Amino acid sequence: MKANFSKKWKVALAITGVAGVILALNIPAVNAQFKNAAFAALAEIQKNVWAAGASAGESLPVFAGESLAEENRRLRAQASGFWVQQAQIDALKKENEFLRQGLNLELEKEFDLKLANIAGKILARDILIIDKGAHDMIAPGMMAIDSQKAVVGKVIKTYDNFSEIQLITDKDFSFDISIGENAIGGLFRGLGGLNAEIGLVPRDAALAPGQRVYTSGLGGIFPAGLLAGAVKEIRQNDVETFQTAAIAPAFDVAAARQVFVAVGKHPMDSALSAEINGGND
Amino acid sequence: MAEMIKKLILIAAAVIALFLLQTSFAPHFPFFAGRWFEWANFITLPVVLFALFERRRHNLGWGLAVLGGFLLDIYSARFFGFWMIILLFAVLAIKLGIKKYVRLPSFW
Repeated sequence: MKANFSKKWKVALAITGVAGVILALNIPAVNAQFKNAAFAALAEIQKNVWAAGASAGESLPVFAGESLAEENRRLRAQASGFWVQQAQIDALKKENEFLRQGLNLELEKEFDLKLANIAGKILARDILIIDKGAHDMIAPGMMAIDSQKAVVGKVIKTYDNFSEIQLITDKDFSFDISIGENAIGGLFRGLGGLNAEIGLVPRDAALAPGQRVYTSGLGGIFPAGLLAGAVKEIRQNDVETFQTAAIAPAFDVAAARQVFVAVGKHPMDSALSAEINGGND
Repeated sequence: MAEMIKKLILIAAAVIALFLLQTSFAPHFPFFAGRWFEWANFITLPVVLFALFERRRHNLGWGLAVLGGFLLDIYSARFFGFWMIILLFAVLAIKLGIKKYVRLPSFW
């Protein structure tokens, strides 16, 4: 009887303890401090595991969702076109270098770019944890890009030394885009699971697989001209007014190790920034 | 007692290693990008399997559920405690429900 009573007390104490910890860790200030400490404790190992994963992701196509035979066929088809493209590329290279220098200068003049290492990814969401936070002047709403100036996403939450970056592929992330050389307007939508699509593209607009998709600068989230991805598969329907297309995002999570956060002047207007900050409180 | 502590440390180390694989290694593979991976992930599956094949009088499954849930909660967009509660209920269901009616081999 006594042993049974003691066991019941132990169980009750354990349940109360777990419930107390859960309640305490749901207080926003405690939660932020705790998560910052937890990220800090694990960050060094996680950065190494992330780097190892990036290397493995590049060399192990087993889980890439594409069979080796398919990949071989696709690569052979691509390679046959490369000989012709090479000659054109050589001619454009000189001009491109000059223009790129100009673009780099412009972007770095406009934004103070902070380099951050990726430590991990939030479960079932396209949100990355990076090792720079409020102490590094990072704030919610700031945009993140990669070394190729491809748009990565935006900061949605900051801790003292870490931040959460919502990738453009995260569910419900959307922004205005400009497609191809004709600058066709449209809307980029994240679908989750590292997938994305474009919508609100007029039915008569000429979309083609491989067309580059850039940020348009409208909506205030990103400046114009940043690469977002390429058109993968067009979906047209005679009944619909607009056409949609699957997008291959330019930012490759599988190979990424670092991102840049634009901490200087960020392009969001104050109303949108306030909305995001309010939504994360 | 010493044996128990040794076992506990080994299991905790294994759960932390699985957690690192879950949050920092698996995201590099599109195979693990699906919605299914939220539920059947590197932590929930071992916790459930451990509880299934644990002797009824042993209690390590509970500790494993708390530790695994706690780690998942750090890297979850849901409220803190969600995974701890889910895993504790899963272990409870296994220990009080399934194991009462289904005879499974016990490995630990």
